[in-house]
Amino acid sequence: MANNAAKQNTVRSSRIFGDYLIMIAAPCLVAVWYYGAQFVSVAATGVLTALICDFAAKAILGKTFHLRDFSNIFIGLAIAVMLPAGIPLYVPAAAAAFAVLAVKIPFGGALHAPFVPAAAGFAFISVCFKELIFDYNVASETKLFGAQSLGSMLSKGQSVYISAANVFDIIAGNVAGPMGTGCGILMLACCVYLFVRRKTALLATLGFVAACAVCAIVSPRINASAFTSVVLELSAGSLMFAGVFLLTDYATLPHNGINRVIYGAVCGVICMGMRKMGVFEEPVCFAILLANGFRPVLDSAFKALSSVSFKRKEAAEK
Amino acid sequence: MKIISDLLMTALYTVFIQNLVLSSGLGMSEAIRVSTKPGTFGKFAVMISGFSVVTSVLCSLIDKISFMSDVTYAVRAAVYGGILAAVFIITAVVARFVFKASPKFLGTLGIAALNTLVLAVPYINHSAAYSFADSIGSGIGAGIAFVLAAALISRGSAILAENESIPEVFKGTPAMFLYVAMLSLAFTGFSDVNLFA
Amino acid sequence: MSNTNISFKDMLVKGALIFNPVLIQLVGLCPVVAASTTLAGSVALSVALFVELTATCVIASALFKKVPRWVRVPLYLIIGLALICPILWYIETKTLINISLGMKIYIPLIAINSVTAVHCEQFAVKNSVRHAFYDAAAVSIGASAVMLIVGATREIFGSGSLAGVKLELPVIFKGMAMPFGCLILLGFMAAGLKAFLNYRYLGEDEAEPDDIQEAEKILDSGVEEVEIFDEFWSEQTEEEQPEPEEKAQPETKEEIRDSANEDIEDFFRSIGIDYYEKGDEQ
Repeated sequence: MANNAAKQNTVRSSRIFGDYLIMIAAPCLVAVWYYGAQFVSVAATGVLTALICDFAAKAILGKTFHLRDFSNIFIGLAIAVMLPAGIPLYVPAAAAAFAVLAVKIPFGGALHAPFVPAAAGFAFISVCFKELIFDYNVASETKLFGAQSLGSMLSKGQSVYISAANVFDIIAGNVAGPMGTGCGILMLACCVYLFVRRKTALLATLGFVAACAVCAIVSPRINASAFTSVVLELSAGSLMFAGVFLLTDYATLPHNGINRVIYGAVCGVICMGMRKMGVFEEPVCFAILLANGFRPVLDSAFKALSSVSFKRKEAAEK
Repeated sequence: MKIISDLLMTALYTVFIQNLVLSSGLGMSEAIRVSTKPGTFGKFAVMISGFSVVTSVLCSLIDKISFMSDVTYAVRAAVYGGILAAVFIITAVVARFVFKASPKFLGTLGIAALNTLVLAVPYINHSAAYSFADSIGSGIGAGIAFVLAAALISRGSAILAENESIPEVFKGTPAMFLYVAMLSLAFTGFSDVNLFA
Repeated sequence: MSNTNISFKDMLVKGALIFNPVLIQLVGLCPVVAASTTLAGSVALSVALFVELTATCVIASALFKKVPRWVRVPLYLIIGLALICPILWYIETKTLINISLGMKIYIPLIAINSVTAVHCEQFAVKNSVRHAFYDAAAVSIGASAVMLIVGATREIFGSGSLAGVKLELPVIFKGMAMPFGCLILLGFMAAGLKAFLNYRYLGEDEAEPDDIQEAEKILDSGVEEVEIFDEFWSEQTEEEQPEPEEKAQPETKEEIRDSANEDIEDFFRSIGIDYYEKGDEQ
């Protein structure tokens, strides 16, 4: 019985994370295109560390290690694409180890963890190595604004004139920033794939992006038009990547459609709040962790509301 | 108007930017214990806010006396602790003998009043040089921060209890610690500075 | 609670290990999480906790048995402050010891620690002075051990030093000095303790009959304490306690063994360890 459950979990895990691996191949290719061997070494370190930590932890706990559990590869790659070029290799290793040992294993695997492991891993290294994580000086000579990332420009209140000439560079990710998350066009393509595979998962992304856009309009960080503010905020850092890849995580997504939109919107508001008042240039992973914490509260609130409306309906029918 | 905006800003700061329970560990034991009784959250929010506000306002007033400006932290601790104990005893006496409160209510009152969270608020007001309105805001914020933390932990512990995939050694307290750790890590996105560092 | 035969060793195992205040009972988390960032700080907090807890428990046991609970609880705070503040004042004004701002605030906060309230209220006021002292000392040792381990680990990995001596570490994890770093450490320490308790008292092959007997003896009073501990937090009072149901006394040897096993099982389930009988897994 227990073996069957474990087998089912492995199958489900390989299917879900298999989809994510297909999706993440695109940002990885972009990162290889822009940064070449630098990205390959960071990604390999992240993936290998995640695999070794998972294998070791399962050996200690007396559990079977499954190669078909693709979540380790996904964790390693997701962390790698969010990092800047030239990052020391111990940083992705620390992030992957944290994600696996402090989140994935203790909570019973990537399909059961109440927090997104990759987001936790990235948040951990953001706290530990803040200066390294948001330093985009390496390989940025050919970028649109040199070593200045959109995130740092926004946090300093520096506006950017968006013209037909530079808007493509911005949405194509040709600005200083994380190695593989800047390309908005690819994120859109990933959304299409996710829509085909898990339609309702994108509801959370929809709520997230809408909330971020509304916050960018209502409370802009720069003195510019609403359109400019929205484009820059959505293109900065790993916001879109996290919205598509991490927020739609199978284990942490609410079951109900409306709840998914609300969950995404809550995450978006928290993220924009952290960008405005927090201490990190890109706090989206912290926002996802906090939204993960709010998810059970939202679920129970939704359940309570549903039962109240059901009772009212029943009383009206009587 | 400025007083109200200061009060609200300080309350928001205490709840989110420097959540006193999850970012600073104050009153964490009580929050974890209270989280098992979601029905009492409202009561605790009011009580903790009430005690925090009264204690921090009284401590702010005492701080204005010239004698307090250059006292050691030991004397300050004695004064703040004495004020909190006095506030609790007066409240309990009134509740017991005027309103005929039950021992059960007095027990809840004790947990809400006598914890590290409530006693830390005057120190925060002092170290941040808060104004009178700010002191009230931080007191209210302390109560809301406590209930926010308790609510997040409460629902979290419920989903941990339902999760049968958790390895045996991590079931129960270890998983709870790690869950609270992740919430604490999430709040670090607002502020990565330790309180009183 | 009849505990006249319990030795200090038994109470030490029970108070510091089986019912570790921080890792099992989840009390006294504030000083551990917020202030134990260095080994020196942890030593200071441990000493303060030991002095405050033992003295308060002894005084509570000797003097407060007839005092109503709602008066007792603030008295613990006043006693704690009366003990800690003069020592802190002496250190601040009469010595050259440099205490950080955090320590100046967190050491007095020990006086309002939940460990004190829980152990004074649930053990000291119901037992003799000697046993109250034993319990307080055992609990302080348990909490101090956790604080010292946590403080040393956080200082090594969070600041790259130990007891102020710089270590040549290639990487420093600043996050370990943050509260979440401590909570993660506590999570793994709690898991380790749980695995140890499983191995020591409920292991399949390794546990000897003596061990089971020892566990039974210690847990006998332990189960009772867990129940009253929960009762403290569930806000029930002496006046509202339902009359305990008369339990049928076990008569045969098998019944006595079954009854003891049930107690152990209940206790371990209450702290999250799944109890299993030998052969259950086959």
